[in-house]
Amino acid sequence: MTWIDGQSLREPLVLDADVAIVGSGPAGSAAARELAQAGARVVILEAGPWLRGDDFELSAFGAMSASYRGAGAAVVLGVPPMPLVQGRMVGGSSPINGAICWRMPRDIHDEWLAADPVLGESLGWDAISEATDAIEQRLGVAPTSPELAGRKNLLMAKGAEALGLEHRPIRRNVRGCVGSGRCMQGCPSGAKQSADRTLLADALEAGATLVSSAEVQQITHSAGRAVGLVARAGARVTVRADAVVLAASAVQTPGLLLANGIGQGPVGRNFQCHPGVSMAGRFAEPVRMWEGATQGHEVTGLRREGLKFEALGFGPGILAARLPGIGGELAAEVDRLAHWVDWGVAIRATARGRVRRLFGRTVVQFTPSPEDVGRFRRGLRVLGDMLLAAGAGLLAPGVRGFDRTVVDGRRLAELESRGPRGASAYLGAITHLFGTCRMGSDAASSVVRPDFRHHAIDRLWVADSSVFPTNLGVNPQIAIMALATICGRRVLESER
Amino acid sequence: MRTWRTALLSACLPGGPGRPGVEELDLAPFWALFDSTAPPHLRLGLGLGAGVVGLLPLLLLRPPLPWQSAAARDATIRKLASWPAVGELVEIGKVVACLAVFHDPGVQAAVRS
Repeated sequence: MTWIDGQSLREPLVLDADVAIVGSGPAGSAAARELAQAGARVVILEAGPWLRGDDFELSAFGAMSASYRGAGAAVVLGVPPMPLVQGRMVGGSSPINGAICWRMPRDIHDEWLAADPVLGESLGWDAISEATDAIEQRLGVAPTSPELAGRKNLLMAKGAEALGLEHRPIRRNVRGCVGSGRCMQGCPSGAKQSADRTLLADALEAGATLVSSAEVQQITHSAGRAVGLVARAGARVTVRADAVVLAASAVQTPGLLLANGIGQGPVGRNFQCHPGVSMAGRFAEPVRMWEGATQGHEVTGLRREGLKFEALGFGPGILAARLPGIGGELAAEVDRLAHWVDWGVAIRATARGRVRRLFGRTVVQFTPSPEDVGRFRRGLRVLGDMLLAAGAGLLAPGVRGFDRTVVDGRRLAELESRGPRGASAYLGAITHLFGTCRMGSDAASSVVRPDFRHHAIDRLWVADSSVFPTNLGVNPQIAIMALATICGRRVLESER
Repeated sequence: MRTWRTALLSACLPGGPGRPGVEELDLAPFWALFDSTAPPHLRLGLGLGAGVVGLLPLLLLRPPLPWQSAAARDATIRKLASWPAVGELVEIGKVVACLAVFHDPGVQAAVRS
């Protein structure tokens, strides 16, 4: 294994590679693994540090400061400005996600091929399924056991069952999980099988080189052909390569392309995501939301309406900030913190945003559409109904301009039918980012070809979820890994 | 500046039975981390909130927030939280107060025990 801590560099570093990869998240790690195991010389440049075990703090703010972009307070510019949740470390966001695993939904794949049938040549269902099987096996993906779930997850099952909604234990990528409830702060026991512990580890084992804390500034290209990368670290890092793969996320990848003047097609446009809102509920008995599997249960029955519900789990500080009231009223609720849970709904947003460069920085613009706001209202009502059915006696919708607390289903129905129409009334966060370098056969309406190759720059590939033509409506890490694996194969084929 | 920030945080989340208030905690480690890692818009929002919310009581013929008693602060913050625009600044104070209080190892240990 070759790992270089870029921050420790004092002299410029020059590396030669067959393939240089930007980013070590699910996409970069999967592509690196495929390439390195086939014998390619691979160098991976990662902007963030390598954090493990004891590096992950118990304090939510401490953990977010170390491992989240903008200490967890990065925002999307829009109405309202919403927090954008992204990891910035070796493994990308996978060390701090909820460990939720979904195979790519067949109906979404059908949508993609219906819109552009040529995609089927590279992204056939069988190829995706085969790659997914291998990844799930490597990551130990399995349903959350009831013994590990913790009360918050079991209560969601109870609420969904009472409402007749399809639900299930979440399939997670963990081995030996002890239910410390800290997935989103980084797993202290190393049980989460995040990209750094699995696919990246395999790539390094096969001979790949990782440089962490090295932020790529430049895609070197000459005569229409990518020939390497330049990164800023403790000292300048230069990689000379025969091919370059971008896997830095649907925000950073288009940002890097735009910063380098590579404006092919709709780069940065078609930004799609899954904004989420949540409903907090207070139970008579302690639930201790911070115990058990961080996210162990989900409601899938309304997925085709663009709604997916998940039990949430985070540290006491984050939960406290979600409680209703201010001053003495908030303090009284914080003193009953163990009785509160927070459940979320992620929506498959219909709105499209944009990644662009402003004043030398990469920014994201996104405002939920009226249809998305309708999904917020519907989702909050369902969450509230489930919480009440599970036994909660008091709800906090977190909607500006609506009741601070709710105790019955009638008001929840009114929230859905007559709740605020403006997106700025809803306190949410944005996760799961897609579409900013979309894949397609038409160079005017896409950035990369169906085989992940950039339309305009030879020997340049994009492997991350920026190539996805649309959002998925489900947690994307496994689909990202599967498609990036296929991308790695296409790079290999081009080498032969 | 820290006096004003602490006053805002203390007003947003006072101490409770068995849980110390902001002014009883050593927030130096939190502020060091916050000042070095929080993005500019959050630091600006908190700074603005501390100043605006701290001084607005003058309009209500009350002393600035840092010089108010705990009971007076509670009444003030509840009132200001409902004001347009000011409510957003109070919300930032609330979030930072919760993060700051639960950044303390003793508070973490107590709630998890």
